[in-house]
Amino acid sequence: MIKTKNNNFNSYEYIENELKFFINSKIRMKILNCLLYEPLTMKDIHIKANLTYSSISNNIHKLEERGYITQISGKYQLSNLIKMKLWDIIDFNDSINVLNEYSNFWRDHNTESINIESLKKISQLKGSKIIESNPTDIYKTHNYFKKLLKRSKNVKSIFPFVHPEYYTIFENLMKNKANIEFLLPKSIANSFIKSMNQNLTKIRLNEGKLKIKSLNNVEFALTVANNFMSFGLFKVDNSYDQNKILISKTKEAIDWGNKTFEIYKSFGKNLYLSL
Amino acid sequence: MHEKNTSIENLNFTEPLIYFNEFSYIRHILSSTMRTKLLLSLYNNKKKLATLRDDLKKPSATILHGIKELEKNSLIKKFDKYYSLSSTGYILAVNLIKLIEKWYSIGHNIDFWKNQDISAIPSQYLKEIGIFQNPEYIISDENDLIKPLNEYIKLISKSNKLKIALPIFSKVHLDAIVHKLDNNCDIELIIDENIFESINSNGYRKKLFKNSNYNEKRNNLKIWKVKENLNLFLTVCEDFLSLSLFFEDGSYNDSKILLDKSEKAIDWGLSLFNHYKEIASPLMLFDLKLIKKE
Repeated sequence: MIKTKNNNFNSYEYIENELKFFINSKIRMKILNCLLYEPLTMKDIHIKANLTYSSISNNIHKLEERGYITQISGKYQLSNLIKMKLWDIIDFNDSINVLNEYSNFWRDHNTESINIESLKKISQLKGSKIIESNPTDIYKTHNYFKKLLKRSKNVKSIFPFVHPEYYTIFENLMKNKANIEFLLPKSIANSFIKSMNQNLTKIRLNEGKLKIKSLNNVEFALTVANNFMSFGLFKVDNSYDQNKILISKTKEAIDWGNKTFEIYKSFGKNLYLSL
Repeated sequence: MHEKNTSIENLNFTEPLIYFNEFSYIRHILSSTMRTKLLLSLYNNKKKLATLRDDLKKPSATILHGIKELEKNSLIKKFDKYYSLSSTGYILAVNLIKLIEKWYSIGHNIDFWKNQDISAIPSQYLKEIGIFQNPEYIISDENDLIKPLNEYIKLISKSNKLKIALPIFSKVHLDAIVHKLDNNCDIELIIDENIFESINSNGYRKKLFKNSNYNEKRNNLKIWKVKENLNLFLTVCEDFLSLSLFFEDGSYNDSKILLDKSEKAIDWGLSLFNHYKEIASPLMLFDLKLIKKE
């Protein structure tokens, strides 16, 4: 749980000195990073990190003094605790890279409505790309999304809105016996279902291949399938930004999408569907 | 060699940047107490300068300097005399707090992790180790060397569903498991090749797999075998997770058990257990020589 301000300050003050010792020297960070995956000799570090022997030995001495590394038969290795702390730093660094690299996507959008557990794992979105519509191709995001979805077998979607073309897309997915799960605002769930082939919808609902729950206050769009993950945000003025989506095909991002979907699914309510 | 704080004028969230791996940005944020505390202080609250002054106990000029730096990187915005985090700053603050909590948690659990072989916990699970905010430790003492073992047996005695990754051959543990099976507890067990051999050669095969009359196969035990040595003792059930590890020299550390009853810790354990299940293969009855392979 994210704590209150004072607790955060206290925790920060408790770790501040060590954190600064870690990050204040680029050289130390480089050495620690090299040693994260395997124990290395000084020569290995020299080659891998491209550092001079004098700066390596000087910093290695400091790291040994603090118990961060030990030397075993000529090779330096990280202590467990430092390994864990270093993973955390790398994770934080990855999160920042995700924010930085996709700054266009995050900037001036509503991020506070996204569940905090998902935000804590934002580093998993590394390797995504922003698909952005432009004046010469105003439907780029939608078309890209549509193309990916055609090949999907398991689809989970949270939509704050429904695009008219979704009926056909999802009907086709149902024909292909894809497993589909929806979390939709109550206001659109019923009309969405009614606009699809009723017989097929009934069959898939009965088979458990189509599941629908309603969700209040949907303030982003998420689709996660076996082959991709797509994420879209609201702007700070509270309108959905149809011109930008973040797309990823990495296992990590798909995993992020699945976990995010599951979090929201737990808030979802069963829906009475009048078919 | 002491280096000065990094100045990164050209790193800015308003411009997309190519991936960089020199940690420049986090060094920029974390090397300054003011910048870090400003992000913490504005997390979930917009504030006026006067409130920030009270929070941070620093003069306005110092605070404004820090604010300027964060504004330059689009992490903070000002509206109507109130400072607040930007949409990007908010996510950054969430992850900053996560980092702080995890380091704090590691610092508080130092005795458990020190000198233990953590190679059995894959990096994606190690990264989540901060979920252990307030675990209990069952530690043996001079008066009671087998306290962890006794406490463990007591703990599992109350559970109806157990998932156990068992890296040691111990009659006490196996007897407790058999006892649980006899009492209809559902058990999922992961073992390695060595334990499998020991189970087979020490008369535990039938005890584990057949019911108390040795007539029928039990329905409440599922077992998986991993190829590599299993180097962690993990137990997950409805209401707790327990973990003990091996020393770096390869011997099992029977003197310390980490015990956590929080939902997050149980989820973590469950997911680690499932990770092992995925890399393991289920044992069939013919593996156990309880039926002939066709």
